[in-house]
Amino acid sequence: MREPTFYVLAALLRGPLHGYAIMKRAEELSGGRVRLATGTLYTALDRLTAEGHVQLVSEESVGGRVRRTYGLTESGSAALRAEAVRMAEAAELVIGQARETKASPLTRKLRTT
Amino acid sequence: MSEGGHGDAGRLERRARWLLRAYPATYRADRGEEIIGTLLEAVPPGRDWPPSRETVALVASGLHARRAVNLRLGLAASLRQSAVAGAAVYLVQLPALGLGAVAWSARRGHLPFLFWFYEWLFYVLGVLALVILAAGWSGRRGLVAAGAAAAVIAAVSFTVVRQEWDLMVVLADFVGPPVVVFLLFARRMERPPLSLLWLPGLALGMALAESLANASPALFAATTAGTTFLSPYTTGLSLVTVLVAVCWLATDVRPLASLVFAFTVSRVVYGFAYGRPLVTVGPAVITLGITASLVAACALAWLLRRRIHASPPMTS
Repeated sequence: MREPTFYVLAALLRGPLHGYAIMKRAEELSGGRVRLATGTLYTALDRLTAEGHVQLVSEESVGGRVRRTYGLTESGSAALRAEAVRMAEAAELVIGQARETKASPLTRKLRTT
Repeated sequence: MSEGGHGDAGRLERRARWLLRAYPATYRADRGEEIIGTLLEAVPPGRDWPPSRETVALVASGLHARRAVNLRLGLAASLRQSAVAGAAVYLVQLPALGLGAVAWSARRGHLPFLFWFYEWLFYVLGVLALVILAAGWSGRRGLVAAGAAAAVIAAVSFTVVRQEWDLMVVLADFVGPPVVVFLLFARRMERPPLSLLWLPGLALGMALAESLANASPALFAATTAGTTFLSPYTTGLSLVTVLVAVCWLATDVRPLASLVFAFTVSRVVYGFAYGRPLVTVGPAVITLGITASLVAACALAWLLRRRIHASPPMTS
């Protein structure tokens, strides 16, 4: 799973969001690293919807414009969790060895979340 | 201030809509408003042009969506549409030569004389060519046949009256091949999209420019000399091929396929009509152009893929 995809799914963990909110949340969660462009976001949403990881939750009209809200599906949550486990295992390879000597910034972050 | 801000927002939205044209129309109808809404939220206030990051992503994603739509069309239907578009590209030579003669005469102040001579029949054929083009493009094969019949009647009556074969040559070289292609491949249900019309439009402009540059008032002199006719396909068109490929091949093979098709037809006709060897400098340039454009298109496709899947770049 690519990093932007991961953060799009992660942004939806706490509940359904609309397009711009997903972009903001992904940026926030990644500490400003993942800054999705609008086009990229919708390409990712299209793909994730086709794969069944994300679904359209609601549709409303804001200022005469359609605003759609997207949420995680069961399979989306599972895929996100599987990816997180994989990343944690990969991280453990490195951090597990460094833990005894000193806590790296990544370790601290992992421990607080 | 607030009025200026409002103006900026209006301009921004207009430009965003313009960029959104990179997406296929069906996609725009479904998602366009939503994407515009999100983009306007994402762009910091006071800007009247989306940041380059957003612009690139929008165009890249649009081309990506186009490619997805075009892949769904299937190979056989794509090739049939390419043949129809290629026939249109070939067919516009005729009206281009007529328009070129009119423009040339107007420049020289000869316009009043232009219609005195038998050239007017040439314009009749030119107009009929446009009718056949429209009919073929929209898949009305009956109308194609009717237009072709009218062209034959015009050419035959001219030949009988004047005892000159010029119009028959024009008919065989310029009208015949596209009509055959239209009758074989045009389908009402799978007409090429109107957006592809830019291709024959471009060919028309280039052929017009070439006939103007050659500055030959005598349309039929070109037939006998055998140089002006079809020659746009040996020079400028190869460059256009490169351009078309770079811009479109990543999303749609039809424009390139139709140009290759039009070029092949023109070489075959040229070979038959003038008995010249088919291998001239033209095909060499075209081959080079196609090769270069394939390489460029692959590079572009690769770049777009990277942009879409890995923007922003992976850091872990």
